[in-house]
Amino acid sequence: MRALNIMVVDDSNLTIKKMVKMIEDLGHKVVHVARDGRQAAEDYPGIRPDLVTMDITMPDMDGIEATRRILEKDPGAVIVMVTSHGQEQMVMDAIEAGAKGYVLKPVKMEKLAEHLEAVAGKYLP
Amino acid sequence: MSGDMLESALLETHFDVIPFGIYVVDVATLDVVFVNRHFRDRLGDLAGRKCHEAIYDSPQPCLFCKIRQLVDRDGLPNGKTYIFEHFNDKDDRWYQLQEKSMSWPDGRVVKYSIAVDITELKEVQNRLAEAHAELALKNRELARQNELLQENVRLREHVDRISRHDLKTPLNALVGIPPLLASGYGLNPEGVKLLHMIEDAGITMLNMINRTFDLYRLEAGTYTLEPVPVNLAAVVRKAARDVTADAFFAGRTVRVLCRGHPADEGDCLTVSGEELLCYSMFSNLLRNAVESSPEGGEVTVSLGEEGGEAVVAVTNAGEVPEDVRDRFFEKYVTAGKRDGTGLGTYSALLAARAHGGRAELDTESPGFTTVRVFLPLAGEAAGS
Repeated sequence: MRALNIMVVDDSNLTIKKMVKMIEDLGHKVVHVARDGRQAAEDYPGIRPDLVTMDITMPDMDGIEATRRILEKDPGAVIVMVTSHGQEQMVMDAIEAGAKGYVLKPVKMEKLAEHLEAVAGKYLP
Repeated sequence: MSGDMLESALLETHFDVIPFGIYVVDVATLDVVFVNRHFRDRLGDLAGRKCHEAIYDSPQPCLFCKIRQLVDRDGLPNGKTYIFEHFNDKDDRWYQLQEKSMSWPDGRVVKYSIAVDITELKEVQNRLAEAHAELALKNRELARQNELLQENVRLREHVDRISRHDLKTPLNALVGIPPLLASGYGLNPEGVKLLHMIEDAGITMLNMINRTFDLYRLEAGTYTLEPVPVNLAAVVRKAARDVTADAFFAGRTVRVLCRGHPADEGDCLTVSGEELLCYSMFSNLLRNAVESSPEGGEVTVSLGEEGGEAVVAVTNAGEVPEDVRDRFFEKYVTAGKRDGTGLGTYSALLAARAHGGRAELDTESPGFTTVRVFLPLAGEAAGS
C-alpha cells in the first residue's frame, strides 16, 4: 500500500495527537489537521488529501455535514468517519452523506491500518 | 470540626467506598470539588481544577456536558438523573455516566457523576455497529453497480433499436420491389419464382430483425406470450428450407420427419404458441446443428407427440465436447463453429421456456448430438 496524504478532523487534542502518531507510524503523512467541520470543509479544496479521517461530534459544524460539503466540492473525496457514535441512525446518516468507511473508538493501530487499507484499495488509484 | 465539614467528610467517605469512579463538580464554576478514591488512585487528586481540563483534557467545556439539564432556572438541583455512555479520549475507555445535581454541605450546588467502565461491553456493540456500517456501504455499492448495469442495458437497447432501424431501411426495397417487378415487367415464370424467393428472404430477415428485441425481453422475463394454435410441422419445414437455402450451407441436407415419415404439406402438429418465436427457435437450433455437422453429414428433425407434449428432436452427426455439455444452453457458450456467438441454443431455451416448454441435450448416442424441444400441444395450458 502506498503512503497516503491524510487530513485529520477532530476537536479533541488527545484524539488528534493519537491519530497523527498512529497514521505516521503506519507510514502515511498527516498533511493537515482541522478542529471542526466548518474548518475542514473550508480547508479541504486547498489541501486535496488522499483521505480524510472525520470525527462526528464537533463544535460549529458536525462531521456529517462537513462530509456532505466536502463531497459537494469533490465527489471523489474519500472520507472515513472515526467516531464514538455507534447508533444505527448515525451510521446510516454518515453513509448516506457519502462516508466511505466507519471506525469506532477506541481506534487501535491494527484497526486503523485495516480500515485505511480497505478504503484505499477500493477507492484510491 | 464544623457541622458542614463533618457532613462533607461523611459524604466523601460514602463516595470513597463505592467501587466506581465518582467526581463532584461545582455547577457554577465547573471546579472539581471532590473525586472518590477509585478515581484518585488512577488520576490523582483533581480537586480545584476545571472538570473539562482535568478529566477530559479539553480547554473548553465539553459538548456533551449535562450540567444545564441538571439544575432549574435558579441554578438549584432539579432532581433529574441523566444516564449516558461516553468515550473518554484521555484513557481510551468507554464509561456509562450517571449524573445528578445536589447541594454540597458547604452550600454549593454540585453535580456528581458516577462513571462505570463499560469498555468490554462496548467492544462487542462497536463491532456490531462497524459490521452494520460495512453492510450499509456494500448495499450502497451494490445499488450503484445495479444502476450502472441498468444504464448499460438501456444504452444497449437504444443502440439495438437504432441498428434495427438502420438494417430495416434497405430491406424495404428488398421486400417492396419484387411484387412490382413480378407484375409489370414481363418476366417468365422462373424469373417470378426467383423474385418471390427474394421477397420471402427479405420478409424472413425483417421478421428476424424484429425478433432480436425479444431476446432481451425473454432474458428479463418480461416477454408476454400471446399463444395461438401453431402448426409446428409447417414452421419446422420452413426453417429447414431457409437454413439449407443459405449459401454457406449449400449441399447440406436437413430431413424433416413427422410421426416417423417424411413431412409434407399435409402434416400437422399443432402447439400453443407464437409462430415467429417458434420459427426463430428452430431456425437457431437447425443452424446450430448444420454448422456442427461434419461435411456431408445429414441433420434430422423428428416431430412427434410424447406424454401430452409436442416433441421436436434435432439430431446431427458429431458430438458436443465433454466440457461444454453441462453448459450447452448457457449464454455465450460455443464450440467448434466458425463465428459462433453462443446465443443460438441459449435463445432457443428461453423461447421454449416462454412457451411453458423446455429444451434438453441428449448425447447418449455415440457420434451424434440430439436437442429435444418439448412444447405444450394446442389446448394444453401454456406456461409463463
